[in-house]
Amino acid sequence: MKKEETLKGIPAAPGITMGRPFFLDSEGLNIHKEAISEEEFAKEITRFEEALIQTHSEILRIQKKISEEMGREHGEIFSAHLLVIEDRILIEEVITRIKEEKLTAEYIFLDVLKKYIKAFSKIEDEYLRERTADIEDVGKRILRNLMGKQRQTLQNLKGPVIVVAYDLSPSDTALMHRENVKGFVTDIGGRTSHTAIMAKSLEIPAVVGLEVITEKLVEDDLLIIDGTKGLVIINPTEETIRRYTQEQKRLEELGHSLLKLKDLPAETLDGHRVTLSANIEFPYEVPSVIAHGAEGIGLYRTEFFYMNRVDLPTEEEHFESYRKVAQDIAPHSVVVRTLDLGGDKFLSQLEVPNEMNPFLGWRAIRFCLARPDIFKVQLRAILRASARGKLKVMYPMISGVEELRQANALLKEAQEELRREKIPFDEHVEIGAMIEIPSAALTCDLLAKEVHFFSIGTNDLIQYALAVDRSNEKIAYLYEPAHPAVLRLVKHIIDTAHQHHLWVGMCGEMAGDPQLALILLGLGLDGFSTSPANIPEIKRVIRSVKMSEAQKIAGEALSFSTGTEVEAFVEKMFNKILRGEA
Amino acid sequence: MRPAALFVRLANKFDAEVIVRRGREKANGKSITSLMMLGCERGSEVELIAKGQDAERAIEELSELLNQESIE
Repeated sequence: MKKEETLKGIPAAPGITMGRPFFLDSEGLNIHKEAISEEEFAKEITRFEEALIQTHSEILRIQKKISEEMGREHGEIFSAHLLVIEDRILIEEVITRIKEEKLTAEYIFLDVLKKYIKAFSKIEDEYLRERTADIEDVGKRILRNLMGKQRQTLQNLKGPVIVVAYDLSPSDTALMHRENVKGFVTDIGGRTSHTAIMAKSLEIPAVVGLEVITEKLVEDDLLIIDGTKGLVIINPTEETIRRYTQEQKRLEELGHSLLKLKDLPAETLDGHRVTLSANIEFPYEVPSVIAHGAEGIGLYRTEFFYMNRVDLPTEEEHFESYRKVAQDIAPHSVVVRTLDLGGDKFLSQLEVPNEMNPFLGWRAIRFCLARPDIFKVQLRAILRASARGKLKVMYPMISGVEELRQANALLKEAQEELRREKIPFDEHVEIGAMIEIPSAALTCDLLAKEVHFFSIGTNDLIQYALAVDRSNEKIAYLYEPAHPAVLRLVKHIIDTAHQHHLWVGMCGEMAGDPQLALILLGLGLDGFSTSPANIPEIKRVIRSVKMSEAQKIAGEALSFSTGTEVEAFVEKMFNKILRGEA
Repeated sequence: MRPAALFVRLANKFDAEVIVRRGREKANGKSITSLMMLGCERGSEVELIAKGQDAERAIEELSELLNQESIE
């Protein structure tokens, strides 16, 4: 009997699932040096050429599929792959060496590949260096075809499995047989990694950043994934299996009953109405937003436009996406957050220097104000799209009034340009500021005069207020959304906004926490914006209480001295109200 | 698409041999791996050499591409 073991990683997509592991790419590249006879070399060259042709059509197929399903810009990733296969220098080097050295095509090709990968890894430019991954990816494909070994694919799975990989590439997930993949676990990756985003949009439980999961597991292990908490339980005991099966059943039932709430308003028992909207990153997430019953998009992240490419996105590219999202979500509105790069994100095409303290550095609005040429492209696109649907602009990382005034001045410039060019836009586009820096929270009475709404960005607000880097595991326990300081800041922002007749929402992860929702509702928060999957649960919480009750809960929550006490209290209230426990 | 990829794609449309020189190093402009070995960063200066029938047109179109691909 194997011993139960629990690994903790980063929760990437919520839910519970159980199954056997399916190792992706476990064979690695391990090829022996093998001599061939004098007559065989022509055959080796033919084999190599056939493998190239096969890989070429394989990649064209993947590219086509991805372009159709996820948009052309995703498909473009594979153009560089194709060029590697068509590369005459590389091909001729392999062919010449097969002839001269009389070794197998596999061995020579791998050797040449390694040489290039090694050379590229020494390139100083980070962007170019990362392109090595393209060459590695193609190289592996060619090798697999050369060895006549069909890639163990996600496409032809025989039964349900949990995919275990070091990391998942876009091409892995694109061809996946969706019914048979029950979950993802990977060694690397973060909350915003490709795997995490895919898992969330497919609604498959996933845990990433487990570091050693590929080494820990063997074929016949049984796994439980708890994607909500970020846990992977290896070879669970009968008792654990029973507990999780129950929890899984409860979640499924909850899911069904929650979806029934889809068309009902986010309204308390005594008729207090709030806006429940969704956070998205890609236009293709809109159908899921609608299916989960969100009223609009409270946060449209726009960083993706700038990532994984060397040129800058054009106004047209921005415009097309904004227009599409706004039209698809109509009659509701979309809040477009302007570029929030820097910090943990990576902007490849601009020479952003490495910083000691990126979260306190040159990022988001600071970067945009320094580069009005880049910023105005986005502002113009948002304005143009506002003629086609309901859009709002939101500036991230505002720390004081001056930044807000400068940003608004640029917006005004963009409006004047459009007027001159006779391009239509909505003259009454609403402007909002994200309140995510303590200085903004404490001066929000002053900021209120410059904007139409606020959105509290809790991920950064908590990190800045508590001085906790949440990606640092050693101090992760200090990252407490229920910390009295955080609650006081949130209360202050909401009260001040209301004094100035401003609408105030929240778009951080805290807004998707069903227990804390009771407190936030009671504090008077007007809008909750969270990932689509969280929407039904938050709606259920709101529809289960009276506003007067929530206000009482919020009042009491503010009286505690520690975050732990607040959490214990709110959990008790939650169980009482939502589960009828005494 | 990535500039290096765009460049290679365009270079392959010509019959002429295309050579990219950066300092003392040279690369075959029709080969992505060869070009990447040059390790050109944005803004670095390169010299284009083309030999063959349509060499003139190759130089013209390729340098136009290189110039419009820079942001600064």
